[in-house]
Order: sequence, then C-alpha cells, then structure tokens
Amino acid sequence: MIKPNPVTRAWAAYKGLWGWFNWPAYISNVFLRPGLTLILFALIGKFALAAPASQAYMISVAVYAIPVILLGSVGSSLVSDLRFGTLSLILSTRANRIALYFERLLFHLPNALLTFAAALVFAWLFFNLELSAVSWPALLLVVLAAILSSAALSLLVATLLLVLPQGWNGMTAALWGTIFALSGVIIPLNALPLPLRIISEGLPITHIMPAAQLAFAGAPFGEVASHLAREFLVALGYALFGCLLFHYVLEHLRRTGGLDTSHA
Amino acid sequence: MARQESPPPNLPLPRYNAVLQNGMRATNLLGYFYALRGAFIQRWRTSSSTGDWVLYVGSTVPIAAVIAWLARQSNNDLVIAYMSIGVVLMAVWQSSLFRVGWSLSDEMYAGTFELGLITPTPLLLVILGKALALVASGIVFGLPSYAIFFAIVQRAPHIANVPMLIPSLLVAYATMLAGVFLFSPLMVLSRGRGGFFNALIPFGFTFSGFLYPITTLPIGLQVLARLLPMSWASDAIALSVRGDGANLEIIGRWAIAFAVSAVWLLLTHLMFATVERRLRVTGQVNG
Repeated sequence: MIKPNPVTRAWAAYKGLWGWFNWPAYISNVFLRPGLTLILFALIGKFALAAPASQAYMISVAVYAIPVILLGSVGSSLVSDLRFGTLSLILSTRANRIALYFERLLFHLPNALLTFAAALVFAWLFFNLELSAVSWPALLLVVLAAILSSAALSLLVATLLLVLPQGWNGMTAALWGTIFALSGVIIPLNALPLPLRIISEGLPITHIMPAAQLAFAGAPFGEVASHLAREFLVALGYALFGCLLFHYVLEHLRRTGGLDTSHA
Repeated sequence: MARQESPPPNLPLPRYNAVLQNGMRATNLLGYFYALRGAFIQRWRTSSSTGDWVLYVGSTVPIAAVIAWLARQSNNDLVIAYMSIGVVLMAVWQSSLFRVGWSLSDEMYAGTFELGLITPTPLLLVILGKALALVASGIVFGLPSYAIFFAIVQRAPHIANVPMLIPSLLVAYATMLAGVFLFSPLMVLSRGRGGFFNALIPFGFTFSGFLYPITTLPIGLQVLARLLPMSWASDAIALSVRGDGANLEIIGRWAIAFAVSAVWLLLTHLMFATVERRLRVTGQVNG
C-alpha cells in the first residue's frame, strides 16, 4: 500500500487550486502589491504628517502584507477546491480531516514571508528604511507569529466561504479593509473607540504591530515576548475554532448536497 | 435583379456620389452613437449588485477612514481638501478598473462577444459604452468613502478655485476612463488569468496623484507617474484646491491630460484590433 505523502498532497492542492499560480499574478500579488501599498502609505504619511511618520508606517504596512496575501490565497484555493469538485473527491477518502485542513496552508506560508521581504526591499530601495538597528532574531519571530495568526484566520474564513463561495471577493476585501483600519497599521490602537478596540484585540497582527516596531528599534527578545505570546494565543484560537468549523461545515455540505458543484 | 439607383436630375454624378457617401458616413456615425448609448444604458442598469457593494464599499471605506484619520492629524486645510477628493477618486478607480478590465472577457463568457463581431459597429465602441457606464457609476461607491471621511475629519474642505475644480474633476473622470479601458483587451490577451489586477489597483492609487501631489513622489517615480493621464488631471485638481495656479495653467494641465489619454486610447484601439484579429484567425471566440 502506498502511504499518502502530505507534502505531495499539499503541493498538488497549491498548484492545482491556486488561481494566482502564474507569473503575472504571482509577481503582482507577492511582490508588487505590498511594495506599491507601502509606497502609497509612506507618501501619504509624508504628505499629511512628516517623514518620521512614514518610517513607522513602512514597517506596519510591510507586516500588513502578510494577512493580505494569506487571506486572498487560502480563501481562493479552498473555494476552487469546492468549485472544481476536488473537495468531494478528497472527502470520499480516508484522509485525516485535520491534516487535510492544515495542509492547504503549507505552500502559502513561504509566500507570506516573501511578501513581507518584498515590502521591506521597496522600503529600503525607495525610502532608505533604516535597518542598521534591527534585531533580526526578534523580527523573525515577530514575522513568524504574524504568519501563524494570519494563516489560521485565513483557513477559518476559507471554511466559511465553503458555504458562501460567491462571497469570496467581497468577504476577503472587507477583511483586508477591517484589518488595515483596526490592527494598528496606521491608526494607533489607543485612538480607536472602545468597541473597535475590542474588535481589534481579536484580529491578526494587532499585537504584532508594537512588537515589529520594537524589533526594528533593536529591542531584545524579552521586550517583544509578551506581544508575541498574545499573538500566538490569537492564532491558537483561530486554529481551534477553524477546525471545529471545518468539521461542522463538511457535515453540513454533506447533508445538504453542497458538495455538488453543478451550481457552485 | 437589383434596382439601379439613378442620380436625381440636375445633379452631376461626382457630386451625387459625394452626397451619397457623406450620407452613409452620417448614418454610420449615428449608428455608432446609438450602439454606444445602448451599451451605456444596458451596463448602467446592471452596474451595481449587492456583491459589488460589499466588495467595493467594504474595501474602500476602511481605507478612507484611515486616510481621514491622517488628514485630521495633519490639521492642514490643503491636506484635508485634497484627500477628501482623493478618497472618492480612489473608490472610482478601484471599482472601474476591476469591472472594466473584465468587461470584454465577460462578453466572451456570456456568449455575446460573437454578436459584437458580426455587427458593423466596432467592438471598441460597444465596450467603451459599457466602460463609460462603469466609470460613471463608480461614483456611487465613492460616496460612502466621502461620507466616512467627513464623519472623521469633521471639517469642511477649503477649495480656493471651485469654478476650475469642477471641470478638473470631469477631466479626471475622463482620464480614468482612458486609463481603465486599456485593461479590457489586455485581460483577454493575457488569457483571462486573474490576479494581476491586485497590483494595478495600488499602482493607480500610488501614481495617479489622487491622495497626494505628484511632486511628493521620489523624482524617479514621478517620471513613471507622468505616463498616466490621471496624474495630469490630479495636477489640475491640486492647482484648483490650492488656488495658486492661473486658470490658463490649469487648462494647460487638462490639455496634457487629454493628450496622454489619447495615446492610451490609441494603444487600446491597437489592442482591440489584436484581439479581433487573433480571434477571427484562431476561431477561439469562447475564451
């Protein structure tokens, strides 16, 4: 009996289901979009306020690129899984459902790292982002935490999209906007009204923003640890809830014939 | 047997032919106008669905809120006035680029593209009519952004030269139409592979001058921005808002904006011709 290889399964899902897996779309989404967004808000900051503000915004916009790429990629992949009819085939196998759930993420994670790096390159190239003081080990952990929480949320949202596949564009765009407005990317968290502040606590990268600024300023790991711990808790919450939701949604689709893609 | 037309008496033949040809040209032009108008009305009526509202309002209102917060922090009348206009133009660009970009591909998927090929009306005119409707309706998606901007800023914009601002805004719309229209045939020529629009949207925001004057860009990037017709219209808007430019200077920016738009429209025309030629030769009219 041939043992199934999860890496092969993950690669097949990534390559076959991800609509942006072609050179124009890949370069646009992974490299150009974060760079252009960074330039945009660095210049808005410069026009409205002053150059030092734009330095801070560059760091936070680079971090923001992580949930953007993951929400867009993972959501579209899972919706494609449903639309192409491959999800129903997988579910007729004995494949472990939890493994199946998390495997969908595997090859999207490096893209999140690449997109963050691309944004930093744009910042350094066009605006001389100061990198001499960066604490690279702390920054690496900060980015890892951002990737984990964003990935967990993207899987959860993608699961919701299985019952509402036609809402993929709208839901993803609305989430991008919500995270941008409420995660401290530009607007400091203490400037938000209390109800929005409560919402922001549950969003990915909210706790990463102060940690990222500290890492760029050369703060030691101890100073960022508390922020990272909160972010890992958020990631864990998304992951647990996402697994439960995945199980429930699959049962719902099975009972209601939602896996029939003739009208998806 | 075909009935032979004979020239009316007392009208020499060459002059009769000229009159006939002019009449045919006028009939053609009238027909093109009707086709353009029909395409506009058809697309205007279907220009916004619930999904469109969620997508375009959901994605632009939070960004407008962030920009409004920045404008408020600046405590600068110029920044507030400039950005208040910019958030609307930003929403129009985003909604138009995506929808106009897919318009020709949608014709193919819907099976109406073939009908367009067999009519005497150039395909470009039909899609242009639809693009006009989409750009014009884009302002609907900009209104919530405008409202949230002022809800946060809580200050009226100060515009120095309102009589020149209004036509400058119309010029901005026209240049945006020229800008987004290019992507309709481009999407078909790139075989409908989605995803690359996601970089074009921030590209437009960054290099159009909607949210800051073009002079804010690093000098190397200003050269790139000047290739976009919207950047010249944004200059006219900036001069109208600040009031430090003579009316003739503003009109000069309009002229340059139209000239650059003409180049973009020429490129679009060539791409439409390429699409038609490719599809007529290969027969792949269904995408």
